[in-house]
Amino acid sequence: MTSDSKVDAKIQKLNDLLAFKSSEDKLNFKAIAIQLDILAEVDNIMQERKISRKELADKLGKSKSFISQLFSGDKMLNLKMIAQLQEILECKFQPAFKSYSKPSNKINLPNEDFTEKKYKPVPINIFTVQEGK
Amino acid sequence: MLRKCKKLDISKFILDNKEFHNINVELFIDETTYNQILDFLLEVDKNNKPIRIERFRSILNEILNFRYNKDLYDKPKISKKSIDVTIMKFKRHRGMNYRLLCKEFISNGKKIVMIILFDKKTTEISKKQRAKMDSIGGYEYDF
Repeated sequence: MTSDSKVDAKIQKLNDLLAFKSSEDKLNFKAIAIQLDILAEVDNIMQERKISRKELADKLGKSKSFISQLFSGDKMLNLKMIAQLQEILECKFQPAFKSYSKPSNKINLPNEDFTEKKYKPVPINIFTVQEGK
Repeated sequence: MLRKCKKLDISKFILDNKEFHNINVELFIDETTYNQILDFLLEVDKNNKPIRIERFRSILNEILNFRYNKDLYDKPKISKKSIDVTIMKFKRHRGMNYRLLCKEFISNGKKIVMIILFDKKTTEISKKQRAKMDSIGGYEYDF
């Protein structure tokens, strides 16, 4: 086997390993992906409000390393923690199912009479600020 | 002079995730390090179970969502020279805290080249790492 074909074989093996081995394997990954979607939104709000990871950890009653493990998907969020996040961030958690045919991170706008002023992309937020807060 | 790289095939992962079917992102590995990086990604434990595939899937999830995440796929922005340098972060294993330095190219979608693997020993980015990141910031590739 030449050096190039060895590398190609390794790339093929990696591609095979990245495919899901079972529906359980796929569901485990999808659960992490949902968590990462939620925490990306939490991270945005934290940056806007200048809330540090340490502050978040203190308010959740967890360690800073636990927060890191949450944000990397090594530890899983539960609904009670999401309820705590609502309280800490003073935001309402609003889940939404969207069709795969319309990816949530792409907004299709008509090409004709497009102007930035006329069509402002609407941010799709999972957390929304509660009125009166 | 343009550097050479090899394209990483992640088509099976994309195929298994409907939300990424229309996403234009390609991954490459620098030709000087592809053996080392591929061996690292394919490393298995004593039961022959791959130890980094789950984390790599999570990193790919962030990349394909065009997101940065301090714990998975970070864009540290430490200098102007290294503005397009990103870091894939892997779980600590046997005392080694592996990081993979990459460079992003944005043009007709996104291209990411995985370049150097290193063991992060301190929480701060060392002078040596900073210099390496600046140097990688100047890399250009023949895609």
